[in-house]
Amino acid sequence: MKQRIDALSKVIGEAKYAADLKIPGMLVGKILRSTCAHAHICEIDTSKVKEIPGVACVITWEDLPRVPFTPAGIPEEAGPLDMYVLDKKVRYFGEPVAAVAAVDEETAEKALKAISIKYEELEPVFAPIEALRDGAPVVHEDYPDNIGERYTYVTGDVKKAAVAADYVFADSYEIPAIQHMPLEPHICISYFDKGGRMHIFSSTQVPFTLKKMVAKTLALDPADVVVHMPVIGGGFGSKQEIVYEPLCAALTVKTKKPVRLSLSRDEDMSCTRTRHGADLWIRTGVNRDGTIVSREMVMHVNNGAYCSHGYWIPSVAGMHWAHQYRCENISFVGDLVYTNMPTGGAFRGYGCPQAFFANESHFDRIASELGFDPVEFRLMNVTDTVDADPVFNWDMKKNSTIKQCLKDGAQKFGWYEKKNTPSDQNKAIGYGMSCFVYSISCNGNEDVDTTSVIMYLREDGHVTISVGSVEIGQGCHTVFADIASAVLGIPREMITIAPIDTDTSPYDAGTFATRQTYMGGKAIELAAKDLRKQLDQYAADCLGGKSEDVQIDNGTYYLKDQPEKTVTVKELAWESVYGKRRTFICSHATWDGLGSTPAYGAHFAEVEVDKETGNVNVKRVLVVHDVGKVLNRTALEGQLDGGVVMGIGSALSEELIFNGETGEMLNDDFRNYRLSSALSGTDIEYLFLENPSEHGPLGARGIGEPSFIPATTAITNAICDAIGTRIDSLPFTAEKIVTAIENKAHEEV
Amino acid sequence: MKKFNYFKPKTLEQLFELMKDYPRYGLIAGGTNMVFQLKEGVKKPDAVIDLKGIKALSEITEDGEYLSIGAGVSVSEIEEMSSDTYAYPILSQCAQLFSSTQIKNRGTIGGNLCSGSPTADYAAVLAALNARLILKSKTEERHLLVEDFFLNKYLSGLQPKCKFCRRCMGRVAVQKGEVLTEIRIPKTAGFNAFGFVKTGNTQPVENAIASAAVCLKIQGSKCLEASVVLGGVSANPIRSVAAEDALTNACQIDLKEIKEAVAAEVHTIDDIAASASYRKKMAGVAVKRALYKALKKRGDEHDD
Repeated sequence: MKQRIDALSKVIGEAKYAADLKIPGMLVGKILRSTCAHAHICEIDTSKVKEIPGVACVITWEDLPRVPFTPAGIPEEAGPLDMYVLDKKVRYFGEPVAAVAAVDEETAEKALKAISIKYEELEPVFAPIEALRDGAPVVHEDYPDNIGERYTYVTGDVKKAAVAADYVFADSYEIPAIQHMPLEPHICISYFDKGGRMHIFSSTQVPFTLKKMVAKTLALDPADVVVHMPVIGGGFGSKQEIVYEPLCAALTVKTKKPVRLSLSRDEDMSCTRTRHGADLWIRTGVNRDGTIVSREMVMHVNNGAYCSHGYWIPSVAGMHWAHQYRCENISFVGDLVYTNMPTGGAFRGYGCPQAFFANESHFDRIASELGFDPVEFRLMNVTDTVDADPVFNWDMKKNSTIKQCLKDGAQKFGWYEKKNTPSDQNKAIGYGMSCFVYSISCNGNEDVDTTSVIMYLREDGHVTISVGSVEIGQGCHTVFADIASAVLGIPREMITIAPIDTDTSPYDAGTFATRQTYMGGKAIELAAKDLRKQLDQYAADCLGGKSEDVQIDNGTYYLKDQPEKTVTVKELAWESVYGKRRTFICSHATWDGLGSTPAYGAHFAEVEVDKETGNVNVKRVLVVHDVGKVLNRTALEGQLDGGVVMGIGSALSEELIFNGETGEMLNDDFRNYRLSSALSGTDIEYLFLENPSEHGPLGARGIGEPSFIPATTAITNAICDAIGTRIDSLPFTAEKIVTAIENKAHEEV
Repeated sequence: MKKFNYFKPKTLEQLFELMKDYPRYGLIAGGTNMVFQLKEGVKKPDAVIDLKGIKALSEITEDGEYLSIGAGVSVSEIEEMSSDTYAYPILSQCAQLFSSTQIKNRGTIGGNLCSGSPTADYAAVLAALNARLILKSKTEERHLLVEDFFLNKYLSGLQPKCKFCRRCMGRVAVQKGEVLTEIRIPKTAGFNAFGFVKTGNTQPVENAIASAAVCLKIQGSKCLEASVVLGGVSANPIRSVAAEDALTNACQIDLKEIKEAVAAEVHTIDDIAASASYRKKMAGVAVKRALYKALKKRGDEHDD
């Protein structure tokens, strides 16, 4: 078990996060936020601010170039350009209306209080169902029906098939907005160097897109913007966004001074991004033998105030949902609905956890009502052949391991034995499972999905890797070093991942879509293979043999036939600079992918429900994933522990709560927004299948988002099994569980 | 966070001087509430006075009449008290369910009370034990019952959803220039069976949706006296008259009946953590389980 390469520096506090950086003369930036969810700004009076000593500047929408943009941190600027850095209309409670820079926090806060704003309040709208009604308040004038994007996928004839089916089941589900809750809130530092170039330190997952968007929104030349990467304290998608960097940079433009804009926890929770809430309707036609003959889903995604990633959410959700189960008649309609809620953003799973919660809950009900075992019902219907894949062009023969995940998982879990008894009479044991498919990385044919790498042998014998892929805590740099070590034949300790900035690091699309191991890792593998070839030749020259005759073991080359003749990579490196060779051993590679690869898996859960209080003890979860190849088992298990704990939180307690009249978030802190934690005491077991991916590095797929996607629903299905009735909205709070048990008792009387 | 001066007096006399010199002071012991409030700007004192330097506040003593716990005693120290101590079962049960180890190591019993939080776990326990809270100022000493110490007002106008726990709540009887020094638990009641139970949303150590503290005096198979207090369900700890009536002089105890009586009787708050109707049910469950704990513990002792 190899520890992460950044473990020590993080544990002893040496790692420098953005909040640790101090730049001489740095001002404190603060944001004034709207106190209504929907309003025109009629007047902003900042005259009193300028009288306060220590205030460097105040900016409103009038001070900024009027550039519409999308804050989504993906290379393409797709979808509605519906946002301005500051606007004259506010569309959610807490939206920035002005920003100040001052010598310290107290002065900055004083300055915010001195700004007076006159609003012309408009009627707000918070729920998709309200926003879709005729005559509903319009959030963006360009979208009078409040629909920002619609994705439809239709094949066959669902109506006809449903009529012909032996049974038809329909259910509705509600999923609330939740928050990513990275330990490190969003933070940005910006300053100009003497040459007039803008430097930015930000806790971002997408430095290159950030650079582009800061330049665009502030009308700068992208070549004059440099983004530097500090250590990042978690993202989960929330930092795959251009959130407040343009505002921070705007304060620097105005003052010509370094500015730090760091969000408090409540700002981070209520005024950055959330996971999209959604209302889903699902209907399925099934025959007596368990064959699914029609599948329909209508998904209303609560987008919040601005589109951002929402543009992609219905399509990603719909495509994966459509793919998962074999059926000739499918209909999916996904609407992205504008409301006056905080903006939804990228969140681990990107729309799939919502669609799969609905589908996997619904299928569990169908299986139980028709008397099928939930695993068997899925085995009968999952997509695993080429002709049945309606959406992606995956090579199913090589790739599909969904059935194996289900079968092996059921066996290891003891699914068919299921025999534990509750610890006392107030309690009930339940078992549940859920499976998924997820495409790793983007669609390489259409989307920018590039990672480039420069790799070179230093004169001291170590290898430096320069790559723009951001490590946000998920462990990609550790895995990069593992891959390079395996290909080069040198110990991992001899590999350095260079610090990242957009001036010196080669381009990377960003950390998202579970793409870093799969895409970044592939670029690393290619560059390492090239470097290895050069090293082999060099070693052969030194040893007096041919390159195909040399072998390397732990950094030492030898000839196959004469193993006593050796030369170390260190010696080669030294010789390459200080000897006669005077050369630079260097390689580079670019990988844009040949399309995504599927990741399959299933989670199985055992829960114990206290029937009196509704409290749930998630006793054990078995995670089954086809990861292609285990590159670093410790890091892999760490990702799954994180995914499962997040799954427990979203299953049992996580939900953003808003004042229904004003739209103000009410639980914007750790005390009132309840995350799951290590105290849950859940026993997590792992089962990894290693069916190599054609294009992944050393055959690997990806795990970041897949680790979370099925976790929630395996647990909620287990709860339904324990209490013998169903709940149709997340989270399954203690209160909801007690109510469901009571309702069931009522019905039975 | 607003800037402030920091002091750490060694004696009560020094403390009273500082309180006089800095009228806009804030007292800090473990800091598990105060640091949060300072950061959030809920409290903006000119001087933060640290009570951890005052030895007199951190003592536990016991004589024939009273068990006395200094207000500065940490929750961990209570958890580790000798099991011979009077009321040890309920004091330590509360500590076990109090919070995470880190919070228990820092947080004090006095701080828990002075937070004034409706979910302060020790409020219900100490009310059930009929404890006296001793407040001292430079010139005076007052002894208050827990019921007279908590002065939160339940403002139904703030409903349905309000961030009550840190904005509207936290009112206690401590006056300017006063400090809570000691919790004095009378032994005269002669309670000999105890139970404390907390129900939460997810983990047992989080804020209680409802908690119940039960102290009984049992002789043979008869319950001579009962003290039952609910925490977390209302703005202040409240006594369950229904439970006490059902238990006093009872020979047969019907747990289910008491559970239902408590749920029917109690008036509860409604907030973002739980609805009033769920809290009502949980109040009943908490009392039932605390009673079960108290009676089972006694049963075990008899078996020995």
